[in-house]
Amino acid sequence: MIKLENITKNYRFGGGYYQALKGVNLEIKEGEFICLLGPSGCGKSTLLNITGFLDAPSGGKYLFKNENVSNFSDYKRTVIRRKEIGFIFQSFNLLPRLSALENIILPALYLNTDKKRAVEKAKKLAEWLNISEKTKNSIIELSGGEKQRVAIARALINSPSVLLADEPTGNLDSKNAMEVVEILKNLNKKENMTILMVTHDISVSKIADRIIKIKDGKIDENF
Amino acid sequence: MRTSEIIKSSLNEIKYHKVRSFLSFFSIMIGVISIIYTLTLTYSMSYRISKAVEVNGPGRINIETKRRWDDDYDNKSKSYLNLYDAYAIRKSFPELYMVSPYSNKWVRFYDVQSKFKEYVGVTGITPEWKKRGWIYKLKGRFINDYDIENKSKVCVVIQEGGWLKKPKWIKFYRWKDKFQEYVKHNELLGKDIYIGNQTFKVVGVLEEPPQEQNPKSFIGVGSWEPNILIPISSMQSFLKGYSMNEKEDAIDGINIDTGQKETIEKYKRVITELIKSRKGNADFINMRDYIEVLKDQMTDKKRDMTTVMIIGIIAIFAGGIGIMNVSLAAIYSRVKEIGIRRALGASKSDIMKQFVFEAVLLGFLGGIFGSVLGVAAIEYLKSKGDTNMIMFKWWMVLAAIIAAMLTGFIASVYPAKVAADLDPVESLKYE
Repeated sequence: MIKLENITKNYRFGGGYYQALKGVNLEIKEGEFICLLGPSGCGKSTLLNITGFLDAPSGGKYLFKNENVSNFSDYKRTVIRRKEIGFIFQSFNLLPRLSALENIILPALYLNTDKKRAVEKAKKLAEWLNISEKTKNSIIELSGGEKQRVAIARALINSPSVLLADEPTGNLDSKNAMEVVEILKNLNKKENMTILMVTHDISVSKIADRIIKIKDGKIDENF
Repeated sequence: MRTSEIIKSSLNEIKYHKVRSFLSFFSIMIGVISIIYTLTLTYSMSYRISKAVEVNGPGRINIETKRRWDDDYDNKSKSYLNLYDAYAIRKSFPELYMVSPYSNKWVRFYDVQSKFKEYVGVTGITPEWKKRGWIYKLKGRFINDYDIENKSKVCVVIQEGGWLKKPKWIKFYRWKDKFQEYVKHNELLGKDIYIGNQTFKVVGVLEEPPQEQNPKSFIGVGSWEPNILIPISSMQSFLKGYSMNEKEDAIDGINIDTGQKETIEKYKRVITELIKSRKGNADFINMRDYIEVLKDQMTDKKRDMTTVMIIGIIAIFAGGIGIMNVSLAAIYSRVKEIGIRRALGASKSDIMKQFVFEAVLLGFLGGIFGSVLGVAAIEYLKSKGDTNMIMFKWWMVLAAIIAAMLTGFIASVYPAKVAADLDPVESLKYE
């Protein structure tokens, strides 16, 4: 489904460049659950952002569903992102002025889905994630675990083919963290969802089919 | 994202940032009020100027015998204008639209029936008088050629139009015109009245339009406003009264309309020549064209118009800068949100639309409230006697609201572009 060949990413830094990714090769098959491990600043979030079309690579080749998307414009990347990618963040990144339900349906609105249909689907997702009672609540009234469930529902509303999770358990207590991990596992096993997850936590990473370690902007082949 | 959703989201933002919204809203509101006021005033002024020119004629020339108080009055000159000079002009230049001789006298008016007495201004005229400056509604008939030829003792009474809505100041400052009060309360048409020592039959009543709609009240030529018109020939033959003319057959002046602005100079020249050939010289007359008279008054009005217009533009411009400033500030407080929206599938244009819609909506709401206040202010000024305000039209509200929305739009394009161009990855990291 995803094939990264010799992907690099450079950032301007002072007068020169800082290389965040130094030639990453990675293949992710449909339905695979991959965990990216690595210390802070090793480039795993950059890799996630490039995979999720939030950022463009500086070099290399990116094949998504057999299509070369390396040189896609910002608009094309946006279109593919809204249709194919679901994001889950460590700090939830919910919009505080919207209710839980409004947060969930937001990506559907950007995809121009009929609002009624989006709400129906959001309610089903909320039920599945055990947050039905909270859909009308404001985000500030929710607990950490509930917030992350809302964020997962939001990531799933457009039925993406890939779910990208950037340390989804990082801000949760161990009980909620395990529940989130369980949800992701279920999604992968039952729905055959392709998942790429960044984490620090080795215990969390154990649920993955494959663990990839990033070190200094490269995949650590010795891991 | 659908427009309805963007509007909903914009309204939420406006509601959430109450102080910020109020400030933009307030400046736009002031801009809108001044735009409505400016439009009303400029519309009123230009309408009245064009109406005054239309009513008084585009090629208007006025010829009068010089008076003692004129700068270049010649003591020794014995020449004066008379009715035959007017006839000669008419005969020599039949193409002129109007040649209207006139003579004014201040005489005693007396109504036997009601015993009403008053000194009134009477103007002797020919039927050509009605060709220009005709703003009246005529009851009965006007003076005709038969009246001139036969020196008929007939007259036409002019009745003032009053006010549609009397301004408050008028109740304190204006003296009551007794003759007008009398005309208002008595049916004069068909009645015999005394003017001087002669009986005249009232064959017509000219009703002026209300003051607010009277172009003569805005720009006028000369200060003499007669109460009664009579055939000029009858005046010269029968009417005794106070006049500026020493000779009985003298007239005060001749009003001419060439029909076109462009021919004024030519006719000024040829008419002067004609008078020279008739009287030996033309130094005893003053010849002025209407454009000259209007010019000063119009320059004043135009300066007023420009001043008000500039104030209006500055106000709305300030409103625009307010919106731009507030929008820029909003962007920096919403960087994270922009990042989240971009990650969830918002395109650059979705982000731009969001900010532009917010500003346009602010402009629209400011426009609506500004219009309500603006119209209320205009109604208030109207009640205080500002006759320009009567020219207010509802399309001005629409124009002001559109201007406010346009200001919101223009002022938000740059901030919206800044927001749309934010790097989504960097924005997501922003705390």
